[in-house]
Amino acid sequence: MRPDAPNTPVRSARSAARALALLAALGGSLAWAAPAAAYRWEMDRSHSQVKFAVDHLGYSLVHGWFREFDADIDLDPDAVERASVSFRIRADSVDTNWEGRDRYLRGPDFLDAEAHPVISFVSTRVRLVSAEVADITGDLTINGVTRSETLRAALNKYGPSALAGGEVVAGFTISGEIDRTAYGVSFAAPHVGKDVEIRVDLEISPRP
Amino acid sequence: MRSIRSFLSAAALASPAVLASDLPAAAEPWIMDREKTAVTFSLEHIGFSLVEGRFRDFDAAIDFDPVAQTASSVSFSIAAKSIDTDWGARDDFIRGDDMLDVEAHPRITFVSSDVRMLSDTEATVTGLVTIKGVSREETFDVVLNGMSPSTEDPGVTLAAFTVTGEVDRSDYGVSAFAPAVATTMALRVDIAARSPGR
Repeated sequence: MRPDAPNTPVRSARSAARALALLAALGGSLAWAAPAAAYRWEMDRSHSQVKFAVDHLGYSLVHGWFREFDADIDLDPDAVERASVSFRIRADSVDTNWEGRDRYLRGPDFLDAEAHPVISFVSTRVRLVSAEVADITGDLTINGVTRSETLRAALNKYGPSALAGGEVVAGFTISGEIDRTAYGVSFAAPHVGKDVEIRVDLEISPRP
Repeated sequence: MRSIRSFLSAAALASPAVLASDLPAAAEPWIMDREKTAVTFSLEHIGFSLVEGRFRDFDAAIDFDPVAQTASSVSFSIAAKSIDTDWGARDDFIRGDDMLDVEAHPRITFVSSDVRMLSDTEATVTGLVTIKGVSREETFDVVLNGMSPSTEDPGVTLAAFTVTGEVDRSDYGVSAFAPAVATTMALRVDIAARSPGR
C-alpha cells in the first residue's frame, strides 16, 4: 500500500504509531488526547536537516550542513510550553561542499572539533508566540562555550503522513541567528561574517 | 544599456569603487571560484519540511561583460550522480532509472541564450536546461550581489551572483511520487567568479 521508498522514515515498531495515527485522524488538531508515550518523539533523520549560512566578504553566502546529529524531544501537544528539546550535533560533521574549508572549520581556529566534538542545545523555556510558532530558549554550547540563545520554531504541519502509512508526523522549521564570535569562533571576522543563520528542518513522530 | 558607473552609485555596497575604465571592454571568460560556488535546490516534503539538496560536482563557463551586461553568458554542466540530499538511500534512488537515470544521462546542463537587465544589479537569464535527455527553455532571476577588486591582485575583479528560479521536475520526466511529493523545485545557484588577470 505504501511504496517502499528510500525516503521512508527510519523508525521501529510502526503498529503502535498507526494506532495513534488513527486517533489523531479522528481527533483532528493538536488537541487530541494522547497516551503518555506520545510525549516522547522520534526524529526522522531522512527528513531532518541542520543547515547554516554565513556571509563571506559581504556578498557571497557560504551554506553548509551538519550531517550527524540527533534530537530528544518531549512534547505534549496539549501543553506545548512544557516541552523540552535537546540537540546534539557532531562538530566534525560540518559539510560546506569544499573539503579544504571543512577541514579548516573542524580545526582549532574554528570549531575545534577534536577538543569539542559535540555542539549541543538544551532548551530551558518554550514560549508560544501563536498557535503554530514558539520561541525556544536554551543553552547552546559551541567550542566549549555555553550561552543562552532563543530560536524560533514554526510548526509547518501536523497530522498523518500520506507517504508513511498514515503515521503521525509533526514538521517544524527552527531558525535563528547566532554570533559565532561570542563562542570564541572568531577567526577572519568580519571578512567572513560573524552572524551565522541557522535553519533546522525537523520531522518527528510519536515514539511507539 | 546601463553603465557600471550607475550600478556603483545606485547600489549600497560597502566595497571600493571599481572604475569602468579598469574593467575589460567586452564579455570575457571569467573564472568560477569553485570554493564559493554552490548549486542547491529545495523541495517541499508534503508540507512537513523543506528538504535541501545540492549537486557537489559541476563546472561553469562564465562570459561576463560588466559594462554591457546583456552580452554576458553562462553555462553550467552538473554531474547528475553528484546529487546530495543528506540521505544516502534517497540519493541512490534519485540516481536510478525512475528519477535522474544518471547512467544514461550523466550531465545536467544549462546554456544561456538571453540576459535581460531589470536594474543595475538584477537581471533575468533565459537558457536551455537539459535534464534526463529533455531540453526546455527556462528563465531564472540573477542578482549581482557585489563586485570589487581582489585584495590579492587589484587587476582582478571579483563578483558574486545569486541565480534563483523554479523548475518542474515532471517536465523532464523526473516524476516519481508526484503529485504527493511536489514537482516544483526551487533552485539556487550562488556563483563567485573573478575576471581574467591583466
